[in-house]
Amino acid sequence: MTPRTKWDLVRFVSTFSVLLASWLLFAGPPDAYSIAAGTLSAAVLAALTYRFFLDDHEAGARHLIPNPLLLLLYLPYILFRIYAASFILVYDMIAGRMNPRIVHFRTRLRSDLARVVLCSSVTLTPGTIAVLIDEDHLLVHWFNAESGHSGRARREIAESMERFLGRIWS
Amino acid sequence: MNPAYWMELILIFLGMGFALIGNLGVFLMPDPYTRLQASATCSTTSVISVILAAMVSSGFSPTTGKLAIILLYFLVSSPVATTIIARYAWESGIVPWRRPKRRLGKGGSP
Repeated sequence: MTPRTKWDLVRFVSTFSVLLASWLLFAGPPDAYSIAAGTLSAAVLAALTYRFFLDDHEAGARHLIPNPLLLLLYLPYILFRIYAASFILVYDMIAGRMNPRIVHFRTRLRSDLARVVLCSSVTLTPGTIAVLIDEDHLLVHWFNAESGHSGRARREIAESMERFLGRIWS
Repeated sequence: MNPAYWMELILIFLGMGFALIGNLGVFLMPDPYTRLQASATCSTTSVISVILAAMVSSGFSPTTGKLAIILLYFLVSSPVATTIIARYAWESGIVPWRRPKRRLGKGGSP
């Protein structure tokens, strides 16, 4: 078995197990028919989509498997960030204080998954929208920009989330 | 009244307020990006508030777990849609609105 086939097999099995787990989560009380149908459809879907589910170059286990405790802590953290930022955004909109700028900066995160989560978190936080993400380069529309400087923008927008995510997917 | 009831009420009213301001922002803002800021981000907060209120209201039950999963999927899917809209606007060449620079005196050079 070549390393390539082995890696394909690992990708297939992990896609299959994620699909089956989510089927069992949503299907309600399991009976024989539901489990058989779930296994079959998970196998077909995994065979069709394992290439996209795990990218070919993304072979580091630490890049894919998160630290579960910190991932659970990230949810309340991001909810808190969303609420804090949305009160500020609403105040700015009512007071008419707006100074929209496009800023760009680069993240220090290595894992693709962590970069996607960072991009989503930046978009979820009111006041900033990630417009483009290209490898490690983010283009962000900032509603009330304090400066157009790249390093400052990264410090204000992404640094704390980045540090958190760097510990989840190291 | 018990605290859960008040918590629920506060969250529902927060959701209503954010939805209202987000929808007003769509009409008042000058360009697509700022409109997106107002609508997408404020309505995200409002949907999260309403789901949290429903979670508080249903107490500790299977419904809460289902709502938590809905919240999780919403947190994954909503920013992707927002980013796709912003990316389309960016790639079709829409220039973001900037606050005009203050002029030096009347009729002076900009």
